[in-house]
Amino acid sequence: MADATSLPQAPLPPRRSPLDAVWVAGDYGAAAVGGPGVTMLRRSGLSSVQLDARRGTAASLRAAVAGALGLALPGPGRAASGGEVRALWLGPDRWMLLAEDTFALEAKLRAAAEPAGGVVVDQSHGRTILRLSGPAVREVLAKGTGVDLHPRAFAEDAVAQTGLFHLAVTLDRRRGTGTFDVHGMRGFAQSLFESLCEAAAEFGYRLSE
Amino acid sequence: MTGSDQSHRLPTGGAIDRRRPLAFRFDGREYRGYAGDTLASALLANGVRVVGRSFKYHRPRGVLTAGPEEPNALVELRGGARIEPNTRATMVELFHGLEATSQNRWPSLRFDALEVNDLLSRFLVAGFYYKTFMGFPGWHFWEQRIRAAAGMGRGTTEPDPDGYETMNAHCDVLVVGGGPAGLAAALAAGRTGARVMLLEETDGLGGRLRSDRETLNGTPAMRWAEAAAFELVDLPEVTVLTRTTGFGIYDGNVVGAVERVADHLPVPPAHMVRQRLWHIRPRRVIVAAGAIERPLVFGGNDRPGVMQAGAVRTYLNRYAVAPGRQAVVVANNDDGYRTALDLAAAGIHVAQVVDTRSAGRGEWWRRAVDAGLDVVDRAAVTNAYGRMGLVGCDVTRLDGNGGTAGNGRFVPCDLIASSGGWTPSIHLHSHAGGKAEWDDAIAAFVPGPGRAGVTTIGAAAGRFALSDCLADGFRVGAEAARDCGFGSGTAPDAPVADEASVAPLQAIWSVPGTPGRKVKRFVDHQDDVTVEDIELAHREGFVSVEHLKRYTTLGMGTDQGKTSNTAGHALMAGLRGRPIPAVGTTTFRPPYTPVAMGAFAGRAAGRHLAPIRRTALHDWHAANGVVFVEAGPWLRPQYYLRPGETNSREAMDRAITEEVVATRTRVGISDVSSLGKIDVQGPDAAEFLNRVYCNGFARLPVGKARYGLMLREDGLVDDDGTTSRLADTHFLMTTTTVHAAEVLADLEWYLQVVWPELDVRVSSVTEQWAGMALAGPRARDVLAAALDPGTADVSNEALPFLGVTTTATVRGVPVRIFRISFSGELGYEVNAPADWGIDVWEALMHAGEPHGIRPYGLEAMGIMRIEKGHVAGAELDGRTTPDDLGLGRMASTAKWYVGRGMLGKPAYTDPDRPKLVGLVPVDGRTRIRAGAILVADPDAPTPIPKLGHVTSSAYLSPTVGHPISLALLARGRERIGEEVWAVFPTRSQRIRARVTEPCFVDPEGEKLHG
Repeated sequence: MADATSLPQAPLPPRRSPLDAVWVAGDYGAAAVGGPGVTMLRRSGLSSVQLDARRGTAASLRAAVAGALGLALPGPGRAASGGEVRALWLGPDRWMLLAEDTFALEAKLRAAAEPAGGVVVDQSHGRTILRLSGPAVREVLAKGTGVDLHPRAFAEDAVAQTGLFHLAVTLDRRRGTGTFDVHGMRGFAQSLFESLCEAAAEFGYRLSE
Repeated sequence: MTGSDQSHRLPTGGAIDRRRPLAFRFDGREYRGYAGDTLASALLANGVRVVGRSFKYHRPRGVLTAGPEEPNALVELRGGARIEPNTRATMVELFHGLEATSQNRWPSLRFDALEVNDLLSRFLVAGFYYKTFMGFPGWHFWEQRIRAAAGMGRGTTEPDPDGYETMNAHCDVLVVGGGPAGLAAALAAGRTGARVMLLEETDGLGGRLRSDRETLNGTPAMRWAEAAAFELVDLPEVTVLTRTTGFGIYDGNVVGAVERVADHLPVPPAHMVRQRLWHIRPRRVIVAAGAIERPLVFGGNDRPGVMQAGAVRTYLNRYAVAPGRQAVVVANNDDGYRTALDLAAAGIHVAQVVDTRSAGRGEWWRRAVDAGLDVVDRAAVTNAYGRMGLVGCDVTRLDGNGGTAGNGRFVPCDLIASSGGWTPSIHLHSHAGGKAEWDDAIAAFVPGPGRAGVTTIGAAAGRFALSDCLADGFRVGAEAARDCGFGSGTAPDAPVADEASVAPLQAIWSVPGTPGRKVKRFVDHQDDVTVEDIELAHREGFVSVEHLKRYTTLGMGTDQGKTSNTAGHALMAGLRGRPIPAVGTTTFRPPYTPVAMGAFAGRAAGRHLAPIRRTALHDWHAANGVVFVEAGPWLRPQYYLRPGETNSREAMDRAITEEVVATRTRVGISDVSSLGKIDVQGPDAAEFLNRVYCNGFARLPVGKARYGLMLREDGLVDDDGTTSRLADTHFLMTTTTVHAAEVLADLEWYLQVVWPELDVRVSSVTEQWAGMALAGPRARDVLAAALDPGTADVSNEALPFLGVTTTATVRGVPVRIFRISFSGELGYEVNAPADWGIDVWEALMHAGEPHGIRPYGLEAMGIMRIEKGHVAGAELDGRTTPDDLGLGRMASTAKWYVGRGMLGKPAYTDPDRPKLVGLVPVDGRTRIRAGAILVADPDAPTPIPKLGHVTSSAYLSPTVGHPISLALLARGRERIGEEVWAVFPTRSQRIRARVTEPCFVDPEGEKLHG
């Protein structure tokens, strides 16, 4: 039975965010000299597709993904970017792949990965992704997670699945100084957002459009 | 007692800022101090001698120490919602407008009615309260009176207006204590580039160097400390936290610390927390926590004006305060001479220097004598006088055998500086499981073998000399950094301390009283434990240190015996005639000093007590009159009010009834997004599900759903839900809301551990999909109208009961449609990608408008499932078998599955087991509470045999017109038609009820299949 996701019949409505009711762009918290300590941005309009390798297929799957997307699936605790796609290691034989919605990632993955033993599960709507940057970003995150975020321990392209303010998240350290993508579960998005805002208030924070 | 206006402030010196005077109030009276003062130093500067009353005897007490060990000067700080009892005045930094109140006195500090306890003290010995009152009837009445008399200060019941938070940190080397040893260690480690953290309890670095007049290479040692502090600030990987107490070491050498971020301010400014709890995960811990001075135990050693010698030097040198005008110094070590010299240098008259030793004449003695001080040795203060403030003391010669020689000589004084030696602060070493070893030279316990990665140095290791502290710090700091891969491990050169040699200490654990005088000699000031109490404990057989502690309360105050334990244990050792190490010491446990509960709670308070989980349809509900109810972490609609309606019992009852009626007669829609959804894929997926569920799934056709029942390994029902086959190797499992995470974990466990040969992957997709249950006779009409034309056929023929289609779209949104029902009505569950959930819900609402559609909440859903006799959480309680629930026929006999092996257990096939039945009140109207107990005769003699209990109740079933319940009743199926009693003893309820079939509505399921 073909899944209808790949066969849209009419123009889709815009995607809603679980933070629509609370996200008002602007500067909040303490007024900080030299700008806000943390800037938060919603990474909307992304496809997040989970890719699993079935038993014994990891090697063939890597090859298939490399061939189709130009991306080398990363090893434990790491992320990798290739072309328009970023891949995060989530666990043994499990990755999360991300791309702009326009890229039709799920369809491409199904075509390339399923024959090679991949199991494709769309999670685009189940995850809320916030991008945090700024001089105080490590301190803000350290209030909620026990992961060592120092560059010596958590360098660029490091990934951790951990707890942040008692919520399950995936942390992805992006390139550039102090930029982190925080992937949280949709249902807990508002709790996560409120905790981040309170933790960031002493440094001043900006909610970007 | 000269009162106010800083009469005891020295004209020069100190690390206070005389340009910044600060006004504060103590017991309602206004005083002034300076920035840099503590509350204790400011009170002393104003000549305030009495700052509190003691715990048991209500004796007037003054400031004893200058540090965290303070047992006497405990005050209530601030007021209102910010009131803080038992605050140590020695640790409170003065701020403008500070308000403090003495505690444990009534009606006032000067006159305390309960001081009568002091006169009655021969009766109020250790264990008095228990011995006297425990035998009485009504111990709890007396307990409350006794506790009130022992007042520990008042708390508040108002919510704390301030914020707290947690901070996680990691480093290579953590140094606890910012004195000379800690500074040296942090420097040595920090210079290598290692990540270093330094914790200092007070507001600045330097430790004892801030209080003493020591020099390094001829310059004040404090200059070196200041330079070290500057250097540390410039090292990029070094973090220095002042006002931060490292209070405990836990497993894996995690260190707990509390940072008093805003305690030194009147009110935390906006966005600033009051305190911050640190979880620090270092690779190496260096404990440089210093040492605490012990008071000598002599008669009247608690009089206001008796102070520890080291504290006297702190008040003189750091705060420029004269704690008295005429001093007597008494010590069993060279600290006495050091203190006497500092007093004299500050211009204070030293009436007498008393050395309890016979062999104390070393370099320090020589300096004192050369300075013209009146020194007497082999003597002691044997009694001190002055109820509201010291007026003098007896100085008596000692005979060297524990007694006195000759009569006491009265020496007028208003200050006694006393030193019984120093006790290393080995607390953190001990938290980490380290042993304590007795060191005769300093008469104290020092760190013995300890846990790897934790090293105690300097005074905390019993090495008190400045040169030793610096050498320890530089060496151990460099080694710790090297162990983490930084530097060569070579210690930097230490500056040279200009030190006099030290004559050995001579232990004296209690001083005999003045001949002919009855004296009270306090070992533990905070708990009013005297030498006599310890003797009593010994006579009554409480001779182990742990029994001694509990019997006398020695060391059980908020100070945890920091000034008293060593002497108390040593006295017990003496009474038992055994060496001190054989008697031992009590175990130190975190925290080192009290930590506010708010700091532990952090932000997890109020609305952040637990995270809240919202469905994808949350914002629609919130805008449409919903009343939410918590279901685990989820917020789910309970029922919907009309526009503008206020919530009330009546409004709720009406709303629920309308929601049920609308669904049963027309059409209703509810949010079922919280149900667990698990994606199951792989060539062995069907076989896997066939093993997990007790009913068959191997031959479920593609495009079909089936109700599945999952058992635990012990054969009891675990969870239920509908699972659909989307493709040959692709299933979607649903679970109950509460068990979703647990079921996923179970599935992973089966795949990874039990059946690794099965090629299946499982993933939670609960958050990906918004779920909506459309139910009622008109559900199909509504659904058909909402679908984008031509995307799916939902006629009864194309999509029969338990059919599944994934081709449909609604407003362009791809949806999955499952023809399943929980309410017993014609029903569809529509799943839409969560970000479009509201769009699809609104399309269904719009299509349902002509049919009178109503959203319904959990209450209506609950009533409808009880009407149908469907089991839910209250029945799936971990004690029921499939047969108990009337689902016995689902359990397959044609295959093996989890739990099957246990189903034949005699206990599970016992005919007396409770079975699921329906229950209606015989009078047709009385509501039966869930949880009510079922009995045959409520008037039978107790214990009345229990036949079962009520699991779920619908207080009013709009469909059948009276209350209905589900129950688990012994031999229930045989009792259908009989009557039982439902009793609820705590509410004095007994209701006659008739046993019925569990299904009250449409037992043939015609609506479902229509």
